[in-house]
Amino acid sequence: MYTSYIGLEVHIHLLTKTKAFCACPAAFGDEPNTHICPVCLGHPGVLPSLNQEALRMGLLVARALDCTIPERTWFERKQYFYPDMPKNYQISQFASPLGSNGGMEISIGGRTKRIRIRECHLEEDAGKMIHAGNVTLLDYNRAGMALLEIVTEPDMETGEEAELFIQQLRRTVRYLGVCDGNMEEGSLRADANVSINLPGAGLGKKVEIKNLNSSRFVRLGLDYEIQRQTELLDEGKTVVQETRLWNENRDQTESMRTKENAHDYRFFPEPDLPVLELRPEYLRSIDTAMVELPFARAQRLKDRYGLTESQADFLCEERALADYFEQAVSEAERRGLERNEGAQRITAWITSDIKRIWNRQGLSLFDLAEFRLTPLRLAELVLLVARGKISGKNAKQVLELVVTEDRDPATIMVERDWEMIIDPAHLRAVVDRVCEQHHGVLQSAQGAAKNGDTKRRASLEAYLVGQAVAHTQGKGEPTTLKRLIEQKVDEA
Amino acid sequence: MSEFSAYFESWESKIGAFIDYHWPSAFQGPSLPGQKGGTTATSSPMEALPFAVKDNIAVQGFGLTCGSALLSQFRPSYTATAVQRLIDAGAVPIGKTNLDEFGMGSSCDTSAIKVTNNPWDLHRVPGGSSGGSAAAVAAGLVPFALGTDTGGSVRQPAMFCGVVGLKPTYGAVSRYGLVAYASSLETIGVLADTVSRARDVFAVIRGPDPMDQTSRSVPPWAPSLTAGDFSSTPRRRIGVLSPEAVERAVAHAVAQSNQTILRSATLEPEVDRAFRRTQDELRALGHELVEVDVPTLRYGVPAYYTIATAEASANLARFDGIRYGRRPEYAENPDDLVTQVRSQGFGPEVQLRILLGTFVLRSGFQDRYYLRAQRIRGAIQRDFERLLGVGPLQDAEAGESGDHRRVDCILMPVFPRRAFGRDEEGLSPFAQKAADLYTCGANLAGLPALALPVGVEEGLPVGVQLVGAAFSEGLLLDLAQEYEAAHPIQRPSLFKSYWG
Amino acid sequence: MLVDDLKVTARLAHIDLDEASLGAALPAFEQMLDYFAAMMAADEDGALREPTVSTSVVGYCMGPQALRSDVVNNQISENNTAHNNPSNNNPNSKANSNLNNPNSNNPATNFTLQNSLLNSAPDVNGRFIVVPNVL
Repeated sequence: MYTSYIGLEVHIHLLTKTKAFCACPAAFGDEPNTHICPVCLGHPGVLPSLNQEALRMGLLVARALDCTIPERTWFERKQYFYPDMPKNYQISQFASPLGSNGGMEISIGGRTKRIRIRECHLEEDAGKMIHAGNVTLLDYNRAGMALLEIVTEPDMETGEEAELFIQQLRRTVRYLGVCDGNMEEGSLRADANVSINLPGAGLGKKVEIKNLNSSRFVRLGLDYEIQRQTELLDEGKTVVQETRLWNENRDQTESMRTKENAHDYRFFPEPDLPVLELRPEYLRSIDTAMVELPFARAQRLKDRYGLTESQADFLCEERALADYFEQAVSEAERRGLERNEGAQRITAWITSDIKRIWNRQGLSLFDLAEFRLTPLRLAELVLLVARGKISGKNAKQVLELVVTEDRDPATIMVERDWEMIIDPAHLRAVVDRVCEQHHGVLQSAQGAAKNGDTKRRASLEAYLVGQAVAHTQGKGEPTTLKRLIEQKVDEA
Repeated sequence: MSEFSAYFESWESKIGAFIDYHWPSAFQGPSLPGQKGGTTATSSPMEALPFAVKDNIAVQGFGLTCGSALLSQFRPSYTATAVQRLIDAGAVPIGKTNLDEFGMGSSCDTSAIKVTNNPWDLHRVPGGSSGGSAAAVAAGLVPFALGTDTGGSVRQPAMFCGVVGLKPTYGAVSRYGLVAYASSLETIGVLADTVSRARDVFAVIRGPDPMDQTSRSVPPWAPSLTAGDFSSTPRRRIGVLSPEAVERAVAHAVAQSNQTILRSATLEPEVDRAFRRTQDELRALGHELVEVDVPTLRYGVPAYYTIATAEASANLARFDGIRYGRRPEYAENPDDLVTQVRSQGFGPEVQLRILLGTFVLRSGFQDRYYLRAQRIRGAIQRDFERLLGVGPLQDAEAGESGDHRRVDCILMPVFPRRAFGRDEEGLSPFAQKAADLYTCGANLAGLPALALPVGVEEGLPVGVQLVGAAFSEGLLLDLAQEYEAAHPIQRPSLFKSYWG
Repeated sequence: MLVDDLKVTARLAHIDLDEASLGAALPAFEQMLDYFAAMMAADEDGALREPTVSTSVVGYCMGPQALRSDVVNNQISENNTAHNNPSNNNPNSKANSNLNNPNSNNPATNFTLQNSLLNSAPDVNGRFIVVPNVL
């Protein structure tokens, strides 16, 4: 059998306000050729001017990916002619990228695997080409937007690992606030390369796969390609080193019709931009913006709150969600609820009723700050349930009302008169009265208890509990009532 | 205005310095500084002065042909920073001047637009690539003009036309708006009728620009630009780069068979005579002259052309007829379109340099050519730094090797011959390149250099060159102005000065 | 063979050299390359004492703090002057063409600069720039 070697080349659009080398707005979707200027259009006589935010965001990612950052970094010209390239060279990096020799952990089958990052570097995007009959239309709004290219070593072995890597990377860049990671819209693009070979025989003939527009297609495309290559080698044939396109309609990779000649990019240092010195003080300022990354955060949530792997994974999908969770749990803990219990209760709420509300409202997790069920309010609600002050059913209703009325749970509970009676003296009085009224049932229960008939006893007690609950208009706390009735039965 | 008009038209019909010009209707005629509309002497020296701009520098309202058929109809949507600063200071751009196509040449004759003639002898070239700017100033059509200097393109035409030519320190003047030929070598420079004028213009255009991240501010220790009175300026220690030493060095480095290269350093007798005389004149003014050597300069020309063509090949890749430029009627596909545009739009000299530049960057060749040229460049820089110092100028002190002390500036020739003619009287393109020997060093090292007219020999002007440490333009201008006061600049017959 | 090198180079540079022009261009090309070969002597030359990896022009380095801030600016020229849009009194300009789009969601720019840039394009369809079909 063969070993597979999968590497990924990922491009992410940095969320800067302006383009990488000019002050045009870096925005999508507007009318064609409206976000252009002489610089990004490659007019004669213009010069690039580097956006400091693009550099900062790129370095944040390099740090997050545990890369080595050089003391000096500079740009290079990558030369080739193409209609979507205004200068017919791309300002990119080559000899001294922002980051190199890093890695990122993924969690696969319960174990951790580190995928090495070869390098990450800044570059500018090209314009957009739209084919229309016998002409091609060019829109340069996207030309010059800041991209970070991230190249991995061929450390992945299955489509699933590649998919997990992309998902983790996507989470990471969203956590850092540098990219929205939307593959459908093209803000995160991935090309894959894969080769297979007999174990220990080194890398095989590498095939590059393009047009993988979602992490799912990354997995399917690679699995298909590994299978295709396996069959070829099994038949004694060789794999052709080429670029193939993923056809999502046919679920297969296909050879490109036109042969892509190997480019001679003739890289040389960009003379229009200065060499950048990345001094320790500057890098420290980058570090202050660093956040706890998703993988580490998930591990910590498991350890600290006793969550399961899948609970932690769910809560860490977005940084805002993990923040929401932790704020709610710590508030609940502050109010006296045991931490892990609070964590479980809050997770349960989030994964059921709250998630349903978010979906219904079309709320994106970036809008969590606007969500009316704040962490504090959620904590309050959970405490009320945990203390028995409100029934589970009423609690669900309170949750909905908090969102529609924008008020605190306790206020709503009191207003709707849903507060459970938990005062032991009051409840004892109720129990006494009920046992008086249903004296016969009580005696039967006591009889059953003496005879050891637990089933009959339980059923008679349940009846009495029901009566007590009804007696309190449903506000008597059932667990306490049950206990008191049991005591009554035992008294005999 | 009409007297000046007649003067202007008469000269221009003979020399053809301008690709395009228009005098604004509001212009009341050539104004003397400080006399426009009652403004006082405290107004800017640029106030109401007309100036010309080489046609590879963008000025909104004019074309930007770069001397090329490819851009013959192009009009820029913006103005170069250096030009804008002059406009803001009150000066008025009145026309675009002729140049070698894309700044590539030493004659002005590779322009695809028109021919420019030297005001001193209409059968001779004005020099290149800023020939139009130099000719316009030499004929008194404008008091100053902007040019560009990549390997000598301001200084050589300045000498050929007998005007002052300043190449600033690399990064002292913003390159935003200059159509790039060789980004790491070129600067916008000044052609002017007097040293004082060059000083005034430079003071306005210099300074950092956020649109050009290679532009830099003047360091606090740089010699001041304000002209002092000459009795108080210090006597200088001037290093003289002897042409004989350069000749020997070139012979040492190059295959003996190539006569053109071997003779590239040799000065024609008229130039040699003037160069020696100038040394005596500087001594007479009290300065100390010592012989110096820049040994690595022997590799200067091949290193210069390797780097310049490499950068040019990338800088000119944008000319593909897609977003602007002349396009053929029909093309099968973009590749075909681009190839047609470039093959028909670029002249042979430009094509040659693009091909050379593409070649020296090709995988497999880059080490041998481009990287080696960059190493040589570093060595040339260091050679100059050893002589001129770097950073705050101190009194001349012992250098590393102990056998030469520092100098304040270096005196060297500009070009081995005066303005050459055409056809049989001309200089082959290859010989022109080899003759860049004296000018390319300042570009490779990023240093300021001033070309100063020192006389007329057999009817044609001769100049010399002063090269200084980075940001020492003030020192060079002071020295030049002192010399000029003692030896006024000569003008071609029929020259008349309308600007004080 | 140098002529083959020249052919490949011309193709990379998108300059069309048929057999005749190849022949015409070759001598000058070769002459310059021979001249460049003079640099080989530099390796043995004691004058080049310290080999450097020259990464930038004149060794100019800067810290990132002086870079451009991430602020949108659609003006024609940020030349640090008070005069933006200096002279629109250019009679030969096609800047005020039919492409001036009044429905801009950015009232400050009104797309004057963008339209002027599009006007420089030889072939335009609506707001798109047109080229023959990419294969």
